[in-house]
Amino acid sequence: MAYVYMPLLLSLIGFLLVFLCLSPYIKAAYSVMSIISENTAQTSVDETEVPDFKLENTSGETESIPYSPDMYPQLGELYAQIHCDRLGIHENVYFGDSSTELNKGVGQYAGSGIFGFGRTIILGGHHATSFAPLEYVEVGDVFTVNTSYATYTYEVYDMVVANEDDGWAFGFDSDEEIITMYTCYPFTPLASYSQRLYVYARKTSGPYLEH
Amino acid sequence: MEQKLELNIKKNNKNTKRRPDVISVILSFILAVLLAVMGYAAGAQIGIFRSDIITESIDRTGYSEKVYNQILADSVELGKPMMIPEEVFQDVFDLEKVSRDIKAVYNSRIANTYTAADTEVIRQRLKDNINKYAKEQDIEMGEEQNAAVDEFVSLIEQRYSSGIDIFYISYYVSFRNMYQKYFGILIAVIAVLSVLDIVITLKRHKRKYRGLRYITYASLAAAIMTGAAPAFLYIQGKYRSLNIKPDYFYSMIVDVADRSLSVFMYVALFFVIVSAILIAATVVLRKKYSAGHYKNSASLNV
Amino acid sequence: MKIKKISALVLSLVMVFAMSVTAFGATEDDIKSKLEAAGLPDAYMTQVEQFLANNDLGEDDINAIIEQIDLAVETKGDAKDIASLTAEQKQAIIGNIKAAADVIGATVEIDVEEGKLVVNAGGKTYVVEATSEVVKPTGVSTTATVAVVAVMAVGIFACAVVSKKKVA
Repeated sequence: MAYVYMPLLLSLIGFLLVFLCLSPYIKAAYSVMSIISENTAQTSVDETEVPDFKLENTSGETESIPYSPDMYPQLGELYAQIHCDRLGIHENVYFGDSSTELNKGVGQYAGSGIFGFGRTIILGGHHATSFAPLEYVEVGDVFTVNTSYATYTYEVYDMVVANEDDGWAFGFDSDEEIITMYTCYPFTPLASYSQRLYVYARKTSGPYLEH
Repeated sequence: MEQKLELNIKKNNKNTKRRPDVISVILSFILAVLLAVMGYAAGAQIGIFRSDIITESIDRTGYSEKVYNQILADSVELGKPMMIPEEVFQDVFDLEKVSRDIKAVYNSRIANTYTAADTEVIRQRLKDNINKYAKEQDIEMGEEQNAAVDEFVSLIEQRYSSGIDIFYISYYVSFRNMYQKYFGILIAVIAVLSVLDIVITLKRHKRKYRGLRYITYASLAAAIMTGAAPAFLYIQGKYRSLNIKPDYFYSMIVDVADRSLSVFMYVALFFVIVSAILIAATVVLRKKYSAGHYKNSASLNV
Repeated sequence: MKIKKISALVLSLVMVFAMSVTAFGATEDDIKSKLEAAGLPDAYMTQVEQFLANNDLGEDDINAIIEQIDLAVETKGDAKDIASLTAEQKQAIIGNIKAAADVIGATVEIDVEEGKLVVNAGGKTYVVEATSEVVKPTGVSTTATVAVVAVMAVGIFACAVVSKKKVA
C-alpha cells in the first residue's frame, strides 16, 4: 500500500513545485500558442469583430487623410497588424502594453501616438515570442503596418541596447514619425533583463492623419 | 531452542511495522521533484525541441501537397486579371520542389542561417510559358507587356516564397534556440543532484532495501507528475479546437502537439518501468537480508 | 520614488496647462504652441495632441481650464523643481488638475504605485506614465526555475548533514 499512497502524496505536493519550476516555459509556450491562434481563451476583444485591416498597399496613393476620433483605439483593442517578411514577424498590435496585451502579441504604449499621427509610436513585445525575431534585425528591414484606415511602411535605420529606464532611448524627441520597437535584451535565458533592444524605423510611406 | 527461535521470529515480526523515516521522506520528495523536472526537460528535448519533429509532421499530414495546391490556386487567381490561363502554370513548380524547398527553408531557419527558396527556375519556367502562350495567341509582347509580365512573375515568386515558409516558424526557432541549451544544463545539474540524493538515501539505511523503497516512491511520483498533465491535455484535446488557419497548418500543428505530448507520456512510462525494477530489487534484497538475518539469529540462539 | 513619480506627473500636467492665455480668443492651437514653448516634454505632447484632436473644446471650456492652470501655476510659485514642492502644494495642484478635468467631464486617475496617470474623456483613454514605467518587462524570467533547483540542492545538503546516524 505504501507504494500507492506515498507516491500519490509526494506528487500532490510536488506538482506545485514542478509547475513553479517550469512556469516560465509554460507561460512562453502559452503565449506563442495565443499568438498563433486567432481564438484564445483570454482575449478581451471579440475576434469576430477584428477590424477589416487594409491589406492592399494604399500607401502611395494619398499623402494625407483627415483624422477622425474613431481612428483612436480603446485600451486593449486590436487595432493594427505589423509584418516583416524577412524576419517572419506577423503580429497583432494591441493598444496598451499590459501583460494581457503582451501575451497576445505586440503592445503599444498608450501614451504614444497612433500610426499616421506624426508622432513616435512605441511598440513592445516579448523577446521569446512576438519580438523574438528582432534578434536578427538589420538596418534597412521594412515593417508594414496595416490598420483599418491605412497601410504604412517603416524602414529600420538604427538600433541600440539601453536600460529600461533610459528615456533618451524611447525616441520621443524625433522630428518625424517613427516606430520604436523594444524587447528584453539579451535573447538568452538566465539574464537580469534590465536592458532593452530598441529598434528604430522611420515612416517611408502612408498617409498623414490631418488634425 | 526451537521455541526460543520461534519467539524471536514473532518478536521481530511485531517490530516490522515502523514509522516512515522523516529525512528519507524529505529526500524522496526532493528526488521526485527533481526527476519530474528532468523528465519534462528531457521530454522537451526529445519531443518538441527535436529538429526533425516538424519535418516528420510535414510528411505525416501531407502538408507539402496542400501547400503546393494552395500556391497553385493562388497563382491561378492572381493570373486572372491578366487573363493568364491555368495551363500557363503547369510544370512551373512541382510537388517535389515544393516539398524540398519547405524542408530546406525550415532547416535553414533552425540552423539560424535563413536561406530563401530558389525561385529562379520558377521565374524562368513561368516566363517561358507566358511567352509561349502569347505566341500561340498571336499576342505581341512589347515593352509594356514585358514589364507587366515581369511584375506578375515577381508576384508569383513572392507568393511561392511566403507559401514555402512555415507560418510563425521564427517564433518556434527563437523559443527553441533560447531554451534548448538551457534545458541541457538543467538536465545535467538535476542529474547530479539526483545521484547525490540517491546516495544519501541509501547510505542512511543499513538495510539498503529500505532506502530503495524511498527511491521507488520518488520514481513513481515522478511518473505521475510527468505523465498526468500531458495525458490530461492529450485526452481532453482542447488544443485541437484552437482556431488556426489555414487548415493544413492546423493539421501540422496538432500533429506536432500530439507527438510532443506522447513523448512526455513515454517518459512517465520509463519511470514506471524503473520503479518496477526497483520494487523487484527491493523484494530480492529483503529476502536475502531476511534469510541472512534469521540464519544469524538462529546461530546466536544456539 | 513614488513621490518622485507622482510629482513628475503633477508637474508635467501643470505644464500641460502652464501658460496664462488671454481669456478671449483662446484656441486649442494656442494651447499647443504655448505648451511647446513652455518646454513640455515631447513624451507628454503626444497625449495633448491626441486629446485635442479627439475633442472640440469650446471657448468657455478652454477659459475654465486655463483658470485652473493659472491657479496651479500660482500654487507652484517659485518652486524650481519637483523636490521643492511641499505636500500641500502637490495636493492643491492635483485638485486643480481634477477640477480642470471636471470642466470637460473627464475623469483623472492617478496610480501612485505604477506612476501612471489616466484621463478618460469622451469615451477615450489617455495615458501618461513616468519614464521608468514606459518600457515594460518583456523577458521571460527563469528565476523560479533556478530558485526551485537551488532549494532542492540546499534540502539535499541539509539532509546529508542531519543524516549522520544511520537508520536501522
